[in-house]
Amino acid sequence: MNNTFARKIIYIALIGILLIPLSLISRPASRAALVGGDDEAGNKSLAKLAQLRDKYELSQAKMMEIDPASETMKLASLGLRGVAVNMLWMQAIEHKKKENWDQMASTLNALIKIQPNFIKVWEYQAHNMSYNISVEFDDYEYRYHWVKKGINFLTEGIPYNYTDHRMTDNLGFFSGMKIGRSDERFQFRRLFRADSDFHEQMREWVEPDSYFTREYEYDNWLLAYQWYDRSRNLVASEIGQQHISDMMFLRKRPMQMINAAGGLQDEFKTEETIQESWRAGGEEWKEYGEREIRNSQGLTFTLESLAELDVKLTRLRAELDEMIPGVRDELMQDVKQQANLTNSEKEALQIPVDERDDEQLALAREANQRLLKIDREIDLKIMTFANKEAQTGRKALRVYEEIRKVLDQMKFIESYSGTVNYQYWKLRTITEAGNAAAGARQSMFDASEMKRRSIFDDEYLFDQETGEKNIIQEGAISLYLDSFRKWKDVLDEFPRLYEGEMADDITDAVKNYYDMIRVSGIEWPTDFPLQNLIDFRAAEGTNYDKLPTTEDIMERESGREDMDSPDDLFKGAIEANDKAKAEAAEEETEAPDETEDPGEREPDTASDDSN
Amino acid sequence: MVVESFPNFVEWINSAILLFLGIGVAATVLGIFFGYVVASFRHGAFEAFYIVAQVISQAIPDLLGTAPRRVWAIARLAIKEAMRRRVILVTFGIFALALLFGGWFMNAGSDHPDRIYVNFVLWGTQLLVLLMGLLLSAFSLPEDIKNKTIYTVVTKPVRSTEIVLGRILGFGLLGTALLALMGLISFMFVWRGLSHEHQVVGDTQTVASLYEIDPDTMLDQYGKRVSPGCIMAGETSFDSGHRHRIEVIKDIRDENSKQPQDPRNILKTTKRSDGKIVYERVVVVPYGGHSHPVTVNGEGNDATLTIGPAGGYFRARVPVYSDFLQFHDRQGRESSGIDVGREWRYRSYVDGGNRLTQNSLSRAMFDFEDFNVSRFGDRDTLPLEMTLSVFRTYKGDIEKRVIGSLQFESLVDDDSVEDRFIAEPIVFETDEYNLQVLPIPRIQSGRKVSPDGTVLEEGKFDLFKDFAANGKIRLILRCEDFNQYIGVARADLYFRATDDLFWWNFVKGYVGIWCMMIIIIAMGVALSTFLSSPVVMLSTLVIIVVGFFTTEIRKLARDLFAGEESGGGPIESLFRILTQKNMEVHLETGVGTTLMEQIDKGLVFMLEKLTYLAPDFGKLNFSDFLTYGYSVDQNRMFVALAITFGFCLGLSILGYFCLKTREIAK
Repeated sequence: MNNTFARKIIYIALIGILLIPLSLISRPASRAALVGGDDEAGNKSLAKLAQLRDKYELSQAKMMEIDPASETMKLASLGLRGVAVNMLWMQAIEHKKKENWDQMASTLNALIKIQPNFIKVWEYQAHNMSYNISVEFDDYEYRYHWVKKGINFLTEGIPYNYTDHRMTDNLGFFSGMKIGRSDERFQFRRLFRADSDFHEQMREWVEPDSYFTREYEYDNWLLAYQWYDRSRNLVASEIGQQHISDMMFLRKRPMQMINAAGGLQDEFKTEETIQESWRAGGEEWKEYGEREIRNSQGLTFTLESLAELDVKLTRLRAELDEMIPGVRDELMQDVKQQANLTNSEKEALQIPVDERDDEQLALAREANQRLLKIDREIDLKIMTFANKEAQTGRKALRVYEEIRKVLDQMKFIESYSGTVNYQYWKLRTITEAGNAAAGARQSMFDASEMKRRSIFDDEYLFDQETGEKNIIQEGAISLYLDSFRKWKDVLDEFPRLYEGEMADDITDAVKNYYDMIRVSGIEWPTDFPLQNLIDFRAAEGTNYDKLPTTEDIMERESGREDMDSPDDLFKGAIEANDKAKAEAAEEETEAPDETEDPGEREPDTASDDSN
Repeated sequence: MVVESFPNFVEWINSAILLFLGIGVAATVLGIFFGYVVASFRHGAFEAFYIVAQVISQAIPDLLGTAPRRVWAIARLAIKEAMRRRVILVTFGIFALALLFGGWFMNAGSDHPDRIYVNFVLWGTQLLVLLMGLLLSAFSLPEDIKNKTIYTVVTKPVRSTEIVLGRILGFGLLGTALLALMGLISFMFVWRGLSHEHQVVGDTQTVASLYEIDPDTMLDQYGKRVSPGCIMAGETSFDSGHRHRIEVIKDIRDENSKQPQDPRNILKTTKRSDGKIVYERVVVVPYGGHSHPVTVNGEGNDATLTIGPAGGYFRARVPVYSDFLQFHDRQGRESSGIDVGREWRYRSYVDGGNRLTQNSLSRAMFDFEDFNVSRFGDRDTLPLEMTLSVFRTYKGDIEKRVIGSLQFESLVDDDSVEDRFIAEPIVFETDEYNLQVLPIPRIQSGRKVSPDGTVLEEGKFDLFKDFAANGKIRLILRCEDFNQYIGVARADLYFRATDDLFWWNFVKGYVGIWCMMIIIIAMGVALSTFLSSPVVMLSTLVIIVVGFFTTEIRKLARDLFAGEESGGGPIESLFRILTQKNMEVHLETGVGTTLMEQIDKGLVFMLEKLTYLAPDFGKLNFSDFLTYGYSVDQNRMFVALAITFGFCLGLSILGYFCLKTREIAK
């Protein structure tokens, strides 16, 4: 009896002792803050759990933020939250395997309530719905329905993770990429535009008017823009921590504006509103280029500073050249020899960039790379010469050092700029906003519409008297050719655009054109306006559609010249005809009653063959 | 709904009786043996023989002399005792709380809220009732024995059989009453939770709020496709997480054919010059398995539209499944269908051919062997329902769904002498994962063909009188799109004969739960005759878990035995864990590995056989039928009741012998 009593006392005492550290680490952060004075720091460090909750944003401190359903689920699992989570995950996987979509959504609903602060779960399961489940459905309307489910699912996670920009980033990604880049993008965007219920649901987070485009109504890319804008604001206001590099984080928002313009352009005739979209995209992109970006090593730069650095480099080199005039030109001659440039490379360099053909472009690029390397050596040599002079020695060294620094900076920024394709998009937004590209796009759109209606050739009235053709309606072939001529002007002005998405669009159109002329029995024109583009792609190894290159055309033409005479051309046919005649004559002798004389058909047959 | 087995009670009961007898004989032999061994230790080998013989000889009069009156008295005692322990009250309290706050966990925007609701109440009820049964039965006898209150019973002239049966009956009755109450409340909960109404969106509740549909695009204002024949459309208000589309459909019928079923939704009736009658009907397009009736009052644009309450949630379809499903491959050979590489192989696929094999012979043939007019009633059309899967090998036309076809054919007993009827194919657009309803006209255009393939007659023929004159018919499903596939399983295509009463089907669903509960109670009572309460709870819980996963465990055991499962059995798995070898690593051949594998085979074999001692709850669980709105067929009900009876009988006998051998009962 006494032993039992003593044991109980010991247990109670132990519980009491354990309660002391427990109460210390469990005290609320606000209480610790209230203590104040010198003691404040000490008390704060003891309120460990509160701190950790704050650090990992796990506390739903305000009553409004507490979700009773979530808390009930957590309580109901009686501390076996991990087990419950595992079971629900397995159940969700099983439902997915058995294509039991309703139950799967329902399981996810329960699952997320017991781990609402786990960002990856939101990401993974929303992706599951918007991407994996949606494609299981054959009908695009159901696909769209599940894409929306994924988006709605993610929005449910915002209150639990309101400080984490990854939630809004994902919303931006799903709203933009899934709706705007899928195979079903035209259908998805059509449904999105008219989906007033969805826009009403979005109102809680994003004002629908903010993603409304004049004339074209609601735009998914602009919704994505708004989500990324929220992400930016979260980070800018220091509510949330930034989880990815500046470079990629800041790029997302302006890119949506560009995508929005591109999306509209794919669906509608290019006109003022779409050009405005491109302009807005360009401004956003420029703003991105002007923003200070910090890389992982803590170095800061702006993408736009490349141009400034280029100017600075030219100025510094001029300064260096002034010290020893004429040396650079002399050295350049040697350098070109040192670089072992072939004659064709030298020739290519002589030709202005805009006039180079694809082969010359490739040669010039190769040569320039080698020259650039040696360019630095020239700077070094000039500096060495100047250094020997007492007057210019120190100054030359300083200028050289500056040149070196600028070149390093340029290389560094160029590599970052290349990662996001900054220069390309900058140029693209300028080009697409211009009237030349807009005109080309319009003709291309008209041509594709004609193709869709299977009107390949022009409709015309033939004037018997004058022999003139009065075109009533241009067919797809003519319209495509017209657009290609316009594209040629654009590409000649901006040869940098030979590579990239725009060139892909144009090539797709060329492919359509090629298919149509083959159906219509028209030969590939020798003066095809975009022959340079095709040759360039062939040289780059990206002529996947096997469009005729200059080489192919030359082969075709030379083949024609090699043909000796029409008699030779149709030699086989004539021989076959002779044989047929002989056989017919034999038959005639065997069957004299035949009424039709095969010999009478001879001229017709021959003329048919020759045609 | 996924149906993996189609039990036939008569066929099932024969094998079940054999299994039951086999287990009975094995249990008897083992029981006698262990009884003798235990008695030998206690009383010596010679006396043990007499004790065992005495127990067996007393068993017969005990079993035969069991008086219902005394059983009932014990049952009443058990009920009183259970009421005193307040387990029932607590269970009901938890259930009430779950229903009160259940709405928090319901996904209002779900595509099929009916499924979520029904599933929730069934799952909750099942869990609570089984737990209650377990708690009631596991603590009753051991507590009585511990508190010595059992002596107030055993000193009375009652037999051990009566004590065991009385308790099972008492707890069973109590559980039944609670289950009935829970069922009733659940029914009300589901009914109330799903009932909702909509209004017409627009300035007025009239036809003027609808807009015209462009016949070229056949798209509504949201860019969604409308039904064929739709001339006007509108929308309902957004309630209960969804909205419906309202459509005005042009329904063109022959003069002599029947009028539309619901005359209240007819907006306009006109007679065409060709004699056909055009009905313009206003319908609410179903969403998530339900729709709303529409009543039209007035004419033209001023006609008011009244949308009624939700209907279609509470269904109990009586499906007529095919008796046999046979797939044929592209060359027309019998096959198990094409496997398109999905992880779940429930459905097999038929392909639509390709440019090289344009006339693919791939098809799924559903043979119905009891296709009589008596099952469907004298109707002009037979409702055929399908849930198909689609697999595209290339994108194709995104705007169009994959096309399939159905064709009826006679299923003659001897095709070398009998003429056959072959109908024209019915081409349809698939609607993947959704229940498609195709009204099949009873009169089909087709031809009568002699055994040598000669067409004897062309015209219209009756499905029952001509095609299925012998009560058999074949329905052939094909995919009509190149390079695309249609997936189907036997339960995916059926004729909907009629509908059962929903409340009656709901009762049948609860009968399944009741069967589980009774088995758990019987098990708890039987085990508590010789085990302590915690051990009874634990062992019954294990049996419950095994019962829910019987099919999976058996499959796993069979796969392991056949060597088709990676990682091996328990010994090999342990060895792999200890030696850090993953499941796919090949073990070195040798005596050790062979020995390990053989022992594993023995263990796995035993594991598979042991699962037969646990009830297969999969056979008693009718939740899916209620959730998806299908009637629970008689065969399943009888199987469930027979399983329950078998377990109760076996467990009562076990309980009797165990109690008999305990000192208290002497």
